[in-house]
Amino acid sequence: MPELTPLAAGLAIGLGALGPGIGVGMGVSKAMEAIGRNPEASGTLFLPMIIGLAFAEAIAIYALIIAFLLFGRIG
Amino acid sequence: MSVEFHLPPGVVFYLAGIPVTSTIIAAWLASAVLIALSLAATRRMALIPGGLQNFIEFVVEGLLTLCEQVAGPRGRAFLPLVGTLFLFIVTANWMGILPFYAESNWAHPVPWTASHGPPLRSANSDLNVTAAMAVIVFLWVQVTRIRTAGLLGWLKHLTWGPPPLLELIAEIARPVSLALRLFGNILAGEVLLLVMSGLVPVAVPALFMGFELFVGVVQALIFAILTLAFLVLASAHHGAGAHHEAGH
Repeated sequence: MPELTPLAAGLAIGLGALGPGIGVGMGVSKAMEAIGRNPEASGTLFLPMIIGLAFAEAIAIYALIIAFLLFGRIG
Repeated sequence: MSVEFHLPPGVVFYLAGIPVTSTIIAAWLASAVLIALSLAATRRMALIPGGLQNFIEFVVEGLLTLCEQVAGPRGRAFLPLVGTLFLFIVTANWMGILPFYAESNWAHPVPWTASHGPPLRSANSDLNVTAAMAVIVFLWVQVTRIRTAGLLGWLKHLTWGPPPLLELIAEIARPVSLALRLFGNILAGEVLLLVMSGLVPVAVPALFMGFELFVGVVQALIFAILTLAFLVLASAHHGAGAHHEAGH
């Protein structure tokens, strides 16, 4: 049903961003907690946090690619 | 205002029948910048470096430290591949924000390109470019494993281990995810800049360009670190006490 393609594109990224959103939030909140307990750890924490966030965000990016592919197929 | 972007990059010209896309030209430019920078930094090398040589040494030392942190004392051997990947990706990403690049800066169809699209586009916004790098990493990892464990060890690694063939799927999924992660991030940044430039052409795109600078270096770092991790896993000698330091 080609007329549903825009809906599919919207759903793809909308639903696909749920998981990574939660994941990123959890990751950063744990990092904030750790920094709160030990402010000197912020330097050590920063890089692993960023790396972890990039992994979580990659999942959202995969969903975004599907959305782009669907977006290109409209009509 | 209509936002028009195409997922595949536009062809600029044909070289002996082979289409040369805007992203390939951007990749050439990034390589040219890196090569020029290296040549400029290494002419009249001094024992006590000043200026450009000092800066380049700082960057290379940083990459070497990264390699040794993740791979241990053998990390030095991984530096050429990992360092090149990082430097190329970061250069290509940062150059993608410059004025003449990509869709948001070319408002009208360009008459002198084959596809009438812009002649330059951020190199990593093309799946071909990122997939090419991922394929190189894949081959390098397999060769490293074969050199460490022999052909039999390599085959055994791929097919054995409960459940069987899981490692094979992992070996294929890793380069795919490497390519898609970088491609998706950079493409999303492009589209974001395009939409933002269309909505608020003054000042606001600068904020997003700043964000793109950050994303560019983070994604380059991720690609390099993952490659390093895969190589360390591939060159691990089972039972010989291979010391893999995870993270930092």
